[in-house]
Amino acid sequence: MRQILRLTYIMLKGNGIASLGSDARKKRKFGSLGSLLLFLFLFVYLGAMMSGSSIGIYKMLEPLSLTTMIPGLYLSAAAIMTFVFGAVYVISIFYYSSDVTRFLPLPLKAGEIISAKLLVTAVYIEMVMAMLLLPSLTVYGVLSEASFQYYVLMVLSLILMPFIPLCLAAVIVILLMRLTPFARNKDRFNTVSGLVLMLGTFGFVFFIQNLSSKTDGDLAQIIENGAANVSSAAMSVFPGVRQAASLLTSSRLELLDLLLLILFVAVSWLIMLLAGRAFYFQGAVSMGVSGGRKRKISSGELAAAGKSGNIFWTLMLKDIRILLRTPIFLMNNVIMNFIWPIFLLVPFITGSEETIQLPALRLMAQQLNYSSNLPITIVMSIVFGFAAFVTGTNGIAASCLSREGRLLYFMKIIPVSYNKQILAKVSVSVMMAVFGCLIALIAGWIFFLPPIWLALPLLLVLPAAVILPALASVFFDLLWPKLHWDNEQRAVKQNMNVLYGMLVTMLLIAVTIVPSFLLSWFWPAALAALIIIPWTLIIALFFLLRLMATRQMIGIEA
Amino acid sequence: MIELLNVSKSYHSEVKAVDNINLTIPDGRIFGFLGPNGAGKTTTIKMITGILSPDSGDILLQGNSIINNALAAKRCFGLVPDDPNVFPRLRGLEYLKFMGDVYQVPTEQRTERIASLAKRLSLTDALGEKIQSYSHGMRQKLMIIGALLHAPDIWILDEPMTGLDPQSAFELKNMMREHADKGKTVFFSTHVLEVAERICDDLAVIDHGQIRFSGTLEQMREQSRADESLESMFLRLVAEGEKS
Ligand SMILES: Nc1ncnc2c1ncn2[C@@H]1O[C@H](COP(=O)(O)OP(=O)(O)OP(=O)(O)O)[C@@H](O)[C@H]1O
Ligand SMILES: [Mg+2]
Repeated sequence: MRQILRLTYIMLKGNGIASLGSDARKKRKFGSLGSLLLFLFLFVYLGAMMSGSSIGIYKMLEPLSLTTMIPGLYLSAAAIMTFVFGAVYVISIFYYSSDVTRFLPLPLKAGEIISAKLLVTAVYIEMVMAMLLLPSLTVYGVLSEASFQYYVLMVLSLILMPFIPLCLAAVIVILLMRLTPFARNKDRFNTVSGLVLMLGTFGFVFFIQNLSSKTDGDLAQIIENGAANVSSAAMSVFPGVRQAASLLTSSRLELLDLLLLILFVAVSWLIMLLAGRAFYFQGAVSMGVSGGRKRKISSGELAAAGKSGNIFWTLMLKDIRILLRTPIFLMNNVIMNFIWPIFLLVPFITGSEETIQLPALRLMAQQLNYSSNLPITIVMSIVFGFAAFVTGTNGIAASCLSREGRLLYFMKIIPVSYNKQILAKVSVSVMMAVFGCLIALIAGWIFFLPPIWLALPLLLVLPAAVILPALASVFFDLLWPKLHWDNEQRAVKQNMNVLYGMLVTMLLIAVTIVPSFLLSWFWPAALAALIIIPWTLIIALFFLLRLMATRQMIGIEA
Repeated sequence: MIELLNVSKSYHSEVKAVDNINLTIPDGRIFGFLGPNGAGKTTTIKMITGILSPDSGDILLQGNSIINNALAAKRCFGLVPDDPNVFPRLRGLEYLKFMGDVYQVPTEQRTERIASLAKRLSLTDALGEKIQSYSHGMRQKLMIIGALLHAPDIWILDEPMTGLDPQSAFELKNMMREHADKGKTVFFSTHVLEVAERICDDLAVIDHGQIRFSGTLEQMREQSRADESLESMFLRLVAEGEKS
């Protein structure tokens, strides 16, 4: 057992045996601060959303005395989600992390490796589940005035219950991977599954929010017919869910249910171990590098490659292609540009109208005129802050050299000045952010329908807002590039430069917005501040980059 | 022509990986750079190509200093690095277009060169695929095509023969010969002596960062005892260096 826990710890640490070195470990801890912050943000955001909706659901079911259905509903939803997420996690943790080949030659039992992998998967899954279920079930506990015993059982079932659907998912995946060429293309799979996970989480939140905004009658209907059906189906497919639900709704301690739950966990673990022993290792080891489709080039393509193109665009295009085709970069650096608008719009789209006061806001937006100085300053500042934030958080500029890794030498042999190469990388960051911001702006515009002339100041504010953070954060990567990695994750997720980039972006937003508010008595003056301040900084940074780029790049010995 | 003038380099300021070497690599010849593992071959090539900057000394490519006139110097050479794993997520053709654009190869020449080089190295069918699906040898071939796309005056290859099948190795040797016959410079490193013996006009032996010999194959033969094989010459040179 200790061996299993130690293995689990090593796998969780990231990269198997390589991370045992104490030096590497120290650095990584520091580097994961960024993802920790993001995780905390998500945690708080989703937590607040989930508890809000849970209160709503409880309050609506209370008069119908249907509240005891709630734990069952939540747990079945969780079981279904664990099954889906679990399958995806199992594929990536069991098959796509290359550490199996490193553990195999070590004197470890097959069962130990498989169990450790299962525990790693469970940790990730339970983190997600805790994020979604802990707030909701706590709300239920508080509202139903549950005893201390409820909370103990809640934690216990949150830990135990997911193992059952997870093991089921693992068994299915292991069989599929052994018997079919399913999911052999690693890149495509990573991208698709990443998207599915993200959409799944959002879908769930949307769904719950939607429920809570329905009228009581509708809701009762939905729950009695739809949700209850789904829930009872889930209960019969995943053993243990019914028991966990009954543990949470009964006022006495249902010892039999608890024992059954534990028994189900043990049995599914055992089945999963057996399946793993029989089928896992062959499947995992035969997982080669993903191969693309065999595709012959046509003479047309050859001719297209023959056409000479603009150098700057060629440099950008290379980075764009790599960003789009590397799943980790795609999720962290590209999709991030488009995710914030959704985050911000979720409350507007799903939220109940009274709490958001949408009509009032819309009315205010439509009544804006040339003399509404403060409101216009606020809107301009929001757009500036948002655009800068999107650029700063996409991390493209802050990781532009780190992402090259050991291929940085390529930048050194091509006959293009370092300044130009780095500016091309900055432009990629700007380009992605501009797309994200424009989509958000258009969505916001359609939502609030402000007077058309307002577009002009907003579009004037936008360019500096996206260029400044990108140009500023590139300096961190120029000074401390993180080039020695064997896994793309390290270049973007565990890279302090990305965090520094975000921090400096916050600083730059403050530096620009505060003066504009001081001038908010006359909005054109505030607009001037929002343009002049960042552009001055941009020009200064531009010259600083020209001074530093060549010297720094020569100094970097990859 | 490549000129190395009193070039030294040490990593982490300890042992000298390259110790004050002087070397002239003339036009129109194939120049072999020989030495045991860790002798400093790759380090030297990285300095010639601007990947590392020397601690002291200067390097001229067609008269352009890689230190003071880097961009002009970089336009002169094409490099086939010892590790051909580049941009795994680009397709072969995309990589070649990238190289063509970066070196500003005119449209007419480019299409023709890609087609003929790819055909010669039998890589045409793979050009539409991602580089990550290539074998080691295929990647090497792609690097060769990329390096020759702009018809550089200087062609630098680090351990080019490893991973190539006999037919491709033969083809590569021919290509090196043709390049030199056009009056251009070919500089390649190897520790495979037969390769050096068969295709070099000139060669230099480096060991522990120092040049032990530099000259033509015949000069090397003259210097040594009669009918000694290149292998024993090489071993003797390295052993003598060890003693001193
Ligand atoms: N990145 C590095 N950091 C520290 N030392 C290095 C580094 N690269 C090379 N060295 C050292 O420099 C010396 C020369 O290495 P170099 O790679 O130039 O040898 P080589 O002649 O190319 O060998 P091989 O035939 O194995 O390719 C070696 O002693 C090596 O240990
Ligand atoms: Mg070498």
